[in-house]
Amino acid sequence: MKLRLQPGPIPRALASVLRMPDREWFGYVLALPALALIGLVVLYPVAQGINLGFTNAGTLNPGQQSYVGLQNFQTLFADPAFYNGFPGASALVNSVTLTAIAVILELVLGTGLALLLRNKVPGMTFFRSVTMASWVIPVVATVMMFNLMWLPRYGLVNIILKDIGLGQDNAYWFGNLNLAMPAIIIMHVWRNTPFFAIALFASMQTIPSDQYEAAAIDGASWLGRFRHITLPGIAYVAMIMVIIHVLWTFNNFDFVYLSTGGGPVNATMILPVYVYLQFWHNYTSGYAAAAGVVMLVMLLVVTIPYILMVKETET
Amino acid sequence: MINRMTLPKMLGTYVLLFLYYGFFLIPILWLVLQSFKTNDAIFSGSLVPHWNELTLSSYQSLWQSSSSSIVTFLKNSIIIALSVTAISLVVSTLAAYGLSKYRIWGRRGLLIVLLTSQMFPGVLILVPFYTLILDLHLSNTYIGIILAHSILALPFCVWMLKSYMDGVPQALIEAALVDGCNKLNTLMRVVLPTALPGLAVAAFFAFIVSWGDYLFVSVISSSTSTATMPLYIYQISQSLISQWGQIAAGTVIIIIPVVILFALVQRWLVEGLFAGAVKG
Repeated sequence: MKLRLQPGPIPRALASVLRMPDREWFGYVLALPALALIGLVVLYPVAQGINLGFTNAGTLNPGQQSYVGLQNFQTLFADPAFYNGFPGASALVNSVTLTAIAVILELVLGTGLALLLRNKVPGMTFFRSVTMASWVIPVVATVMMFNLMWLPRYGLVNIILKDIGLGQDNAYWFGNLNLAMPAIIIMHVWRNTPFFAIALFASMQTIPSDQYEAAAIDGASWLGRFRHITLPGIAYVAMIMVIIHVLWTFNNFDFVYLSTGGGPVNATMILPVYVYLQFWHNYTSGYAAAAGVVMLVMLLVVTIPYILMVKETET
Repeated sequence: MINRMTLPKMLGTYVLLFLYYGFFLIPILWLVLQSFKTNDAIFSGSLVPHWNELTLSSYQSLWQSSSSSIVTFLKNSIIIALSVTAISLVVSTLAAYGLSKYRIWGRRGLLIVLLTSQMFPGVLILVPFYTLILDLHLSNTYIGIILAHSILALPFCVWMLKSYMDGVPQALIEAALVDGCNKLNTLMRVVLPTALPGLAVAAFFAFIVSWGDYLFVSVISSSTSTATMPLYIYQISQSLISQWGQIAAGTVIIIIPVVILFALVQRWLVEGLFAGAVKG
């Protein structure tokens, strides 16, 4: 009896791998270490984190977890420190407020600074080159710097207040119910505005100057030129900057944790700090993961348009 | 508007520049000033110190303090940040080359995965990541921290380098291959020199991600044997009697390496960062 070798699906796949052009499999080999690391340390933990959000896992009783359905989410939305607490004292609302105000301020101030950087005055190259310095400094250093600004009696801001006769307004900003959140916002703005400015400045440089010349001949005002030439020219870059800063600000943990720890009385409690405290101080990892899942869902709202935008430029 | 500057306009520009840069630079200058003041001068609350109130004692005490000396933390930070820089650079260069120059199946999907992985909340990853670290017995080890930091830096580095490598013409690579260069040689001699600014920015990015991280180190490192500078500075700031001179000095020390590296890569930084976030 003759055995006829039929190429089945598996040998065929194998053959196509072996016949795969040289330039293809080597590409996989190159990309493999990075993808394996990211898979192991990002994708697996995210999947696992979503899974944990539906369990009662705890750090103190490893291995004894069971599924509890949506219970974590019910508890979350019943916790005033997470949602629906006193105005300005719940993590969900604070996170959204902080992100919105900080990013809007960064965009407005960044555009202003970008316009300023275009003016050709002596020394401008120096100003441009030092601009990004605030962005590269470690967050913990920025927090300590602003601590030294806002200490009662010997912080710079309070010394100046005293010297101009407003000594009664002496306050420790990070410890003050009304000033703590503005203090956090100022730190974000301090760090990120230069990045906005430099990116927008760079995109303004790509606008052809004959457009401005034509507008000048037509007698367009400064505002008119800004609205009809500059703004459309920088819209794409501005959009990308806004989206990545929404993501970074919303996810940022250390500005708040290292300065106020979420206090005073939850006045600066934000989602990342809430998750961290639940996980690391209360040992309720299932519950913490559930709060993380809520963050993830909120982030998707900005991530999806971002990916679509980038995908379009990628091709 | 761009070409001609009248004198009033120039003055206006300078006034606005000083306002903006005052806001950015005053906190840094004040920090440096405080680090050189005696404790008495800090607590007197005077704006301008007398020259004999300036001292190096805050810096000296960071080294001499027996209970919490800066030396271990500084050493850990340097070892970890340099390892992270080296690992991210090698791994992301290979991956970027593979994704840029090889039309592999699923390439676009992989690129999107890379981009998305930067968006996940660090704290959500942290919970299961901690379990993973415990399972692999990497808690309180350099390797655990280096692994975590490399991952934080990788997606951005790959994206950034890929966009630089996309600029290298395919014909150039093929010419090198025809001339007898092997694949890795082509990467080293033809592609990398063109992508040099990208490499500098990627290295810088990986370094500052690791150097400044508090979140992951605080969870992985359970003793001072692997703790880094951000933990040290936070720890001395939390002590009952805050020694603000020492805190200022420690903060200056954590900033110095970053500022030096920044000065080296500054001219490519924004272009590179933007490439890492947008182009692909």
